[in-house]
Amino acid sequence: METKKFGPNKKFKLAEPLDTWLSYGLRDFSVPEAVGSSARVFSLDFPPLTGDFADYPAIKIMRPDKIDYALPLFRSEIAILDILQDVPGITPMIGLGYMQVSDGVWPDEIAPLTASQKEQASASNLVGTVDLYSMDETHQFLAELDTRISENWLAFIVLPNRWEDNLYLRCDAGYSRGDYNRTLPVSIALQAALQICEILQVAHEKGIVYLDHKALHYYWNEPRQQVYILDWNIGRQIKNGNATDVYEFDVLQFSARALHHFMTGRQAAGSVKVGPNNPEEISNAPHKYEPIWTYDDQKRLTQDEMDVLGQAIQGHYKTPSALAEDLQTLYNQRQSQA
Amino acid sequence: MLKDLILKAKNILKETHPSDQDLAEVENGLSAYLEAIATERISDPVGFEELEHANRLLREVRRERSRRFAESQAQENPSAKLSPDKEKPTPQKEDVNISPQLGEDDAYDPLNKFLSSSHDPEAEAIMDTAEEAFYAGNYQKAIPLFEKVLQIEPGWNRAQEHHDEAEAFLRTGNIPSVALPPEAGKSYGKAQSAARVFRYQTALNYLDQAFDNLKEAGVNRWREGEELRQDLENQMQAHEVYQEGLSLLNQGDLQGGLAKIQTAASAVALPEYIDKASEIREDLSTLNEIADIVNLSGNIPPQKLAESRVKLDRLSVKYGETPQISRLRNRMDIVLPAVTAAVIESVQRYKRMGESASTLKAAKEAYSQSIEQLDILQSLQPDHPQSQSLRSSIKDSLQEITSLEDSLQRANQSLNSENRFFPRNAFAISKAVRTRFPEDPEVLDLKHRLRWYPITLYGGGALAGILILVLLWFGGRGIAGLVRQRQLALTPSPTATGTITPTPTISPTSTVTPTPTPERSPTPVYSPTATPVITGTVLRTLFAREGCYESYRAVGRIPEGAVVSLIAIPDRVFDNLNRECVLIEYRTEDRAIIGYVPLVDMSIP
Repeated sequence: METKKFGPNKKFKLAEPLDTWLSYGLRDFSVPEAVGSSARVFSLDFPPLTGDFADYPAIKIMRPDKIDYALPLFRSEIAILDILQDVPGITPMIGLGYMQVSDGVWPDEIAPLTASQKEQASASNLVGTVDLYSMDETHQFLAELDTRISENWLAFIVLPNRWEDNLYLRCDAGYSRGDYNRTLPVSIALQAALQICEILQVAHEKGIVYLDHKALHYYWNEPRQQVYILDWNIGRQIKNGNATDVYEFDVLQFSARALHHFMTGRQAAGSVKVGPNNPEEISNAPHKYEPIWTYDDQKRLTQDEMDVLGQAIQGHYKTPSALAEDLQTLYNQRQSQA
Repeated sequence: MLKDLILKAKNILKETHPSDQDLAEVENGLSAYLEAIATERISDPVGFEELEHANRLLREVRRERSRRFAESQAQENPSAKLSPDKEKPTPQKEDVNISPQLGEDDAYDPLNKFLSSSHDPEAEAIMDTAEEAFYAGNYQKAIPLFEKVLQIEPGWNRAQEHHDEAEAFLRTGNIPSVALPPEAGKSYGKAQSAARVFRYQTALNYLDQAFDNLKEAGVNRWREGEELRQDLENQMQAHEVYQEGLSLLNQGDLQGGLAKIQTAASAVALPEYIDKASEIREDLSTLNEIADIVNLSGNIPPQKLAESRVKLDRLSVKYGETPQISRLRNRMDIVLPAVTAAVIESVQRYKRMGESASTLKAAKEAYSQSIEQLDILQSLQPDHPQSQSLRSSIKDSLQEITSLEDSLQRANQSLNSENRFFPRNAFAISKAVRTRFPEDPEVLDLKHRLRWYPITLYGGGALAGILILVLLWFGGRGIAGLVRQRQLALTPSPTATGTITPTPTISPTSTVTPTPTPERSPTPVYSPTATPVITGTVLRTLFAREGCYESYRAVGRIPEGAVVSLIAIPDRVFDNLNRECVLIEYRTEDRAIIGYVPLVDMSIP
């Protein structure tokens, strides 16, 4: 652990917010639903964690006004990221620590879409002290978490900044205006969903469920044709070995929220809406959803695709690998048609 | 080449205020190169990492340019500029929701650009506008446009379906949230989030915004929103009643508080209200139970009184000293001394039972009972003077019992691993428990299993004693025999050189032959009879010499106390000082010494 000062003229500096906007292609969109309920996320300028080409990491800081709510979520996310550190497609944790703000005002949740808004939304005026831990010190960090919070420290996690296209912007009908073939072709939607199933399968094998399957938690890396997932704070570790219903619920949530959104531009009717969701909201969500197909869906999707999606949101698939198997078949059909 | 562009972009972005021209140049360079790669006009292999950096930096550069452009646009149109003084509760009022379009490549690209169209060009142009209005939630604008499309091209299914959907939305008000105009959808989402965290007024404000947005889009009816509004108003009223109920509780009026909270719970069935009402009902019921106990006639069970005291303390912390709680506390203080005395007596009785118990189980039970009674005493009167000393004494006794139990268990374990005929460790380990609880069933069982130990121990000891005695007897005999043999072995045997007796014996009378003969009778011959060996002991360490004594050469050294054999000599011999010497033989394991020694230094038996 090393102790550092942070602030405008220090080596460790906070910068613009990353949780109020998302990007797709060369355009940025103000997305109020992206703001987290337990944390704020800013760009971090700290040379040891910055890449060679100005790729500044993101710092996710516990909200100072919601400590009690955020504490278990942070504990859970850090423990999960520690376990899933090397899984492809995960946005890994590259640093963590505690922060104490001695001066400055937390900025409002403003999307920095103009130069003045960038300045107004920036956290660069915050001044204080950070205790930075390496990845090897995660267990020590967790052991100190309660004590530190009671001493008015804020926990934070440092993660790579996801610069790629956000899948929420690419799939949501509100943004794509029905032009799915350009924004998110079905083949890419299927490919992304397949990769997410693979990530979920690995997570389930390690006793972890994700649960917070909103489309804005997924990013599509075009050069690598790879999906990336972030924000595991609603997820949890399953301590009780015999918890198949929780794993099945995870697959159902993925189907109703993310997969349905990718394929139709909207979430399944009755599912938890995109926004700052809390764990209770998700755990109280229905365990079955009725498929409703619009004119656009019928024009866009094949009968097989609608069948698989319909079964998925009704809880037919018990494991991510079972869903992946059918998604693979659909993907192969799409490829052969192309 | 790409690496150079990446480095250039990185350096420009690191500058505090890069010029617009530099930004435009590097953006053009990067986008041209990436486009060339995408269209396979460049065959140089490019790694994933370089591609990622190029894409990321291109976005960064474009972002910076967009921000500057948007800023200049906002300055040109002051009404659209963000004002920090704008009215809350909306956390942000900025009008810029999407970064501006700077080039053709990021323009909205309709579907027909990619697909070959089979529609009438005029109908297609109207259809684009209609679809844009439809997806923006502006159904009033979209419907006539779809109708125009259908007049030109009546068989266009998509136009017909969207027209029907738009009409249905306007007619019924059943607009799914995904079909709301984007601004209205966002406000509606915020309203739902605020409602989930009980910020009803904020939620209503957001909902009003959503209705305003819908009105702007020509939608006058929205059933889901109306239902949410109704729900929010109910929630707000219920929340007010709930707050009144909490206020009454704080004043100590549990009945009044319960009535209000129950009303709120009935109105909106919020789990929080239902749980709170149930909690107050339980508390009231608890108070009644306490009253029943403290007003019991006759002996009050100490356990129940202790539980009541704990509950009363908890309720007192929760609601303060309300009149009802104070009354119950006073009544409890009156009955407490008698109950406490009974508990003390009970503790001491159980303690005595434990001390005199003949089995482990009985002792433990007695001590546990006394601890339970002490716990009751603790609840009744935490600062009772005898409580601590009694507890510590009982804990010591329990500790001893636990240790005896443990020794019994260890003895049993040891017994399983030891020789069953000689379980020495088990016997030693269990000594204390066998002494303290001789009648305990487990101890009896252990004793049964240990029965071979004394038999083996004492029987074996006796046998060993006898054996030792026999061995000693045979050993003594053996040693005596060996000594005798040794002495016999030491007796000299007749030597090859005959010895002459010190005094020649002559036959006492010569015999004359009966017939005188001129011949003399033959000279009698010395008989070679063995001379008995005479031994002596040397009184001091001295040398045996070749003659008697000092002037002759020494032939060997004889230690003091050595036993020597005397050799007979024909004449007595003396040295210069007229001391008599004797000829001796001294034998050791490896040699024999024969020489003269002074007679005075010898002890001859």
